[in-house]
Amino acid sequence: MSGIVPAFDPATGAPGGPAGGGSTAPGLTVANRTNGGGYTVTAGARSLSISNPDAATLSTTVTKASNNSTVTVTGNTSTTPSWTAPGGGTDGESVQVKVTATKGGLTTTVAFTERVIATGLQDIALDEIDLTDGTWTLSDPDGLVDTVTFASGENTVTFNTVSGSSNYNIASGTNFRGPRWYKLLSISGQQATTAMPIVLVTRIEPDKSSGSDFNQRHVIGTSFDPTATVTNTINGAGAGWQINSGSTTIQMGAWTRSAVNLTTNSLNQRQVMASLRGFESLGSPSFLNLRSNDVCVGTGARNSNATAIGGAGANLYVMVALGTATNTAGTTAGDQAIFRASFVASSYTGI
Amino acid sequence: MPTVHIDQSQVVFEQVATKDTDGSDVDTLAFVVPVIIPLDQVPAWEAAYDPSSSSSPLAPDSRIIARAVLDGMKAAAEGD
Repeated sequence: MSGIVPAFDPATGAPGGPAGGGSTAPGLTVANRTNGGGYTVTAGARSLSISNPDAATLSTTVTKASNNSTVTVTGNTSTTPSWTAPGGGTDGESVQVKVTATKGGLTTTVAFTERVIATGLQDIALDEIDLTDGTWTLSDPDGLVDTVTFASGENTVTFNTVSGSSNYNIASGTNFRGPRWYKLLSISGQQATTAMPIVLVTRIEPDKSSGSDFNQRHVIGTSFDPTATVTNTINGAGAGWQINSGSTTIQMGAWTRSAVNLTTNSLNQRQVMASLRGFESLGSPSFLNLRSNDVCVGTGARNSNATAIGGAGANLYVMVALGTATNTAGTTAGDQAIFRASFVASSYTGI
Repeated sequence: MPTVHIDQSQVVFEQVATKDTDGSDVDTLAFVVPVIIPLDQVPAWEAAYDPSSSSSPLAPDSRIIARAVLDGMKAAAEGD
């Protein structure tokens, strides 16, 4: 017999090396976890304690089950990796945790599932609106949009030059031809319809770091015909905001069909809005306008006054529509609308 | 003489962009003053108003609505 003889068996710790002299996968144990196990955890900080008796190379990966995205693991090659377990949301979430130890071309794996329980109706998280994420469709009848980008939570829409027109002011005239992004409104995987009683909740946070490039007035809400260019055919309801040219004061409020009610306060920073609709009718969106310190500086609502608007169970969409606040001033090339926004919808039965 | 009321707690100051009675655009910062016309007062108001006559309604009737609306606006403007 020649060559190097191990001083001990890495698998058992026994002196003299592995029985028979063959290779053995490195030892690996994870405290309170077994390979193939399933566990329930709470959202937030998570960590593992790994035993790595053979000083193998460790790797810990964590993957969300809902979308296969990777969760960042701190110390992923250490014996104490940590990460932040995602929130359970209304549907629950789970992550696949995989710890591997590799040495001498051999690998030992301990993989298990950690389930994060649903939060039910409390602390419901809103879905961030990223107009560039591929889920939104842009309808821009007159080609107002030059580019749209998304960074650090903010959507930035850059406009082409367009003359002022009531067609781009959703609260003027009978037509709206401004750009709008839309997608089917899904509620926990169920398609929302005009017949279904639903509540849409939005959060908007327009950027007011510099004076507005133009007189801008925008809306976010629901519609069953988001590509319509007749405003009342869009039949929308939700949130609205406006920033006048050169101003850093945000007006925020409620939108129903071809009208908005917006409250003005120089301290306005963001808004939460809730809008009920269903039974082929529009409800009446209401809102709270907030300062950066969470103090509410304005409340309001707008009665849609719109029952039996039709739809006949048509699919509902969530829509982000941008436009102008005046009929005489349009946009010049390079003008921008910048905003953060998010939304979530819920549906109800037994009503 | 017919009466009206104001829903004072609902008087707000805001940017309102909507349509006027004739369908024309209204887009302005404004006090919005909800006027309550009791159903039993509607016949009297309708009788008092002839849209084709520039002198209708009569001054005393007009004053009822005007004073109610202006009181609502004034109270809101002064923070009462």
